[in-house]
Amino acid sequence: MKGLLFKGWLDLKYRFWMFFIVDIIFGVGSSMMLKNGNFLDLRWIGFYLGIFLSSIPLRNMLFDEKAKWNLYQLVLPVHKKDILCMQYFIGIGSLVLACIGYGIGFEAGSLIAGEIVWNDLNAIGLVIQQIFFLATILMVIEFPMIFFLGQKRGRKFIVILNGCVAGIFIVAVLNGYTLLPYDLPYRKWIMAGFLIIAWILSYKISFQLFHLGRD
Amino acid sequence: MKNAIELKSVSKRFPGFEIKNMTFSLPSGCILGLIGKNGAGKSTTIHLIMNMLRKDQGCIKVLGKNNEEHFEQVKEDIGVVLDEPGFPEFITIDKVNKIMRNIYRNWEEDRYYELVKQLELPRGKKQFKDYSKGMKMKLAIAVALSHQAKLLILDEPTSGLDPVVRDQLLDIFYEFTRKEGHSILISSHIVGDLERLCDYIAYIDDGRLKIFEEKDQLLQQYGLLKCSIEELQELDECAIKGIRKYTYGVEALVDKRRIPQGYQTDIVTLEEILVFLAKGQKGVRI
Repeated sequence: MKGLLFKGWLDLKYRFWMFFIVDIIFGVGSSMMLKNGNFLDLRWIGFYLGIFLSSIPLRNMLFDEKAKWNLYQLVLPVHKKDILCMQYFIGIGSLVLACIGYGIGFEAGSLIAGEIVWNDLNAIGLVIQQIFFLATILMVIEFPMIFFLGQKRGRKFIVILNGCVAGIFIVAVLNGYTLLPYDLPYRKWIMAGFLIIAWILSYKISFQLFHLGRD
Repeated sequence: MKNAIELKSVSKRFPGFEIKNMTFSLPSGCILGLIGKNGAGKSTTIHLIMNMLRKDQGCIKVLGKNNEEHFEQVKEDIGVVLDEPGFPEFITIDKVNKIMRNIYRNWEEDRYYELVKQLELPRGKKQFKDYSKGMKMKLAIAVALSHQAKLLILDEPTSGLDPVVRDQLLDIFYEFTRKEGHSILISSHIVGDLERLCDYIAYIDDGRLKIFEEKDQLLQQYGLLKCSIEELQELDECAIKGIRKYTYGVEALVDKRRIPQGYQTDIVTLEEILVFLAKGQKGVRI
């Protein structure tokens, strides 16, 4: 398992470093936006980054398929659940790194502007919630569907899924809807609980599909 | 343990292709060569043995254990080289070591770097994507030989390698089997390598096992008969395994046990056996 996690870390470092540079740039840009506008406008940043980052696990699987690592790892003395854990590690790890990058970029932007405003944390928190929530919805559905449909049809499904989720989000925001009211007590804990349950369920379903195995 | 690998009536169906009733065993301490045309099913057989593909029927045992139950533990003792080495493009020699020492319980770092040096692989920052085909294969072989494996499964391991390195590797593989209980299953198109190395030969054609025999027995059993078509037609059809027609006669691969005494046959190489078997009996009866 440790060996696969190390390989997963190398995947994030070497294949997706540009994604994290983009997060930092968006962070800097967001702080500029915040100086001139409402921090709710940052939802669009969170929306874009959520969709953008949700593609990392699938892209990584495609890289692995091209390198034939997806076959080679099956001859190693690792359990299928470890192989799957590594994929989820890449998904969750990429979100964590993205949020750290975004936060660094945001504060760096604030420093460039000459001030750090404590409301920045509210703004960063809003975007991070957006990123995690949207990317989680997409990833927890994408993983099991890739194992259910296979890589080729899975990719087509993901494009359609992203389009649908993006459409729903745009309509909801333009009409002033939110998933949970901002003044809901324990809002963050409810969202955190939802994310954890979603990831666990997704993993369990993916494992059953991976274990049953499409050739 | 009696057999390193056992396949019993293994079948696997794909659209347009089928592995049917594959049955053979690799005795412990021996080397088995898998030969066959492109697309015959050699790599598929290896994938079935390693449980990379789910079989439809039959039973496969590797190192005495069923390959579907707790196979991860058995894989500790199996070194595998696939026909296309599957390392990520950014990998280097040192990163492979870091990954594999955290995967294999018996990873031998000293042995790995000794093989890296012996096979002249580049240390430092050169990435896998910049390796030649031969270097990629050599890295896969170095990994397969660096964790105290008892069984090597090699799918075209010498493909793309120059003759000097091939010779070096064949010596390494041969030395591997000198240790008690060490076995090798090797598939290759370079029949000369198999003829030099193997104790047993399995010939696969169109998903079916056509021949499974000791190599020496095979070379003794078959001979090359040069005669006219009329003379050939006098022979038992079952004795004729393949024909090559010329303007003034035919050359036929024959089972020496099934032809009458008095027919003079030439010594045949493993490569010639394969070529003739692939050609089959077309045109025996005019």
